[in-house]
Amino acid sequence: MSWNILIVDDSSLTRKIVKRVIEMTEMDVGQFLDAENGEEALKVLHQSNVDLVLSDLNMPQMNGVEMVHQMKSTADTKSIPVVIISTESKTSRIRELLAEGVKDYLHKPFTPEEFKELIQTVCCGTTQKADNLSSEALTKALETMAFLTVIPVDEDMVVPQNTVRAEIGFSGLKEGTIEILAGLDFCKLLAENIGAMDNPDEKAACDALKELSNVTCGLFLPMVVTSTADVFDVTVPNSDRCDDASQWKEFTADKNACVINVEGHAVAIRLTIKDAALSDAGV
Amino acid sequence: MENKTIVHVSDAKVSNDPANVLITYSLGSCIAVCLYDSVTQAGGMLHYQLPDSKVDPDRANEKPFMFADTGMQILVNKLMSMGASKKRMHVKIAGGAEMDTGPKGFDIGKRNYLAIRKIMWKNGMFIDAEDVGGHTPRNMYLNIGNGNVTVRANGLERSL
Repeated sequence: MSWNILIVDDSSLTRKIVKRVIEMTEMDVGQFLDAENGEEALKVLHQSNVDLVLSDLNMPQMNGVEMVHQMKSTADTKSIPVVIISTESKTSRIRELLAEGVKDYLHKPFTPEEFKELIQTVCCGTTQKADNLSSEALTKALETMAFLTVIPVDEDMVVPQNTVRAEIGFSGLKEGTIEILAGLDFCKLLAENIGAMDNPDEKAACDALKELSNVTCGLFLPMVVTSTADVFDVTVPNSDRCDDASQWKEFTADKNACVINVEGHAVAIRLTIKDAALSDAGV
Repeated sequence: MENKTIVHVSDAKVSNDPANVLITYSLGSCIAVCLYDSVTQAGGMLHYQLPDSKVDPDRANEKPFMFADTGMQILVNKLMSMGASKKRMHVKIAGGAEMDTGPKGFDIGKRNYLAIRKIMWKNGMFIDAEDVGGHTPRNMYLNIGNGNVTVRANGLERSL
């Protein structure tokens, strides 16, 4: 999704800095909007479609606290995430704002790296990190059960023309799906290695990829929870087939998809995850 | 077989040979910067001594890698000419210690650190990891094959 971001600060230099760091993060930004104070920000919020507000606290006319109060008491604006960027160091005030529904708080001055981390937490939840963990789990699964090594991505790797996609869902503390997309030939190789079979057929190839998704999910879930008491329900993996390159193109065009190189074969993995608690609350 | 390339003080090296490891020793108040692009497997390391070339432009002409600004400019350009992209480059830095042996009161370590922060900000690049400050000398290693960076200090090794 592309984000329309409203930057609220009475200093044009600060607005410029914030904009620059966001551009550096390569976040998918639709539109940058800005306002010099809370009053102006509320006007912009009513006129435009804003997905995220980054606001200072101490501003003339209407300060950030009042702006947050008004936003949270208006149906149209109450669900828009707000992040406060300020020199305010009074913990009670910050706590109050967080209780009121402000997403996060960044203390000024901040380093570009701190800002990047905040933006990633607010906009992607844990996805950025979880993405890496899902490919890490896939790598481990490939090594242990299929005796295949993951090597750096290069131009020589074979991009599949006809594909198998396996999908497995999980729910619990977090819920989501893990999808793995690979070429039919690769899946046959997978079946050969996993099942120690000669000349596996198409069904065996699909089953091998399903089993790979199952094991990947099993390795991935313990990585995203802090306590072993967090139990997940995992669905039975499914698979489907596609006889041309369209599925591969569509899948890998998604920015959440990650392509790895398994001994010369391109394999893609996509993780869709959200906090169950957040989805219950309708956020 | 790993082959080692030593990056001396006021020196920089680049490589896209996966068997290569770039190494720099005895970083005190100096800073070493590792840049690495995993797609092209191109990486480079700079070991600079001073933050700003403006203090001695003649010296900077002769030894550009002595200074953060002139050194970084050459290193980044060199890597880009090898196909690396600024957006993809991972930046890791180490050094910038306050050494008892150096001149007192100049805060060279800290100024070297702030210099690289400023250069990265101007280039629109984030510093992905750092091991800076303190009072101990460090060695830094960049493995061109996988982009791993390790720092050794006080006999302890940690990856950045």
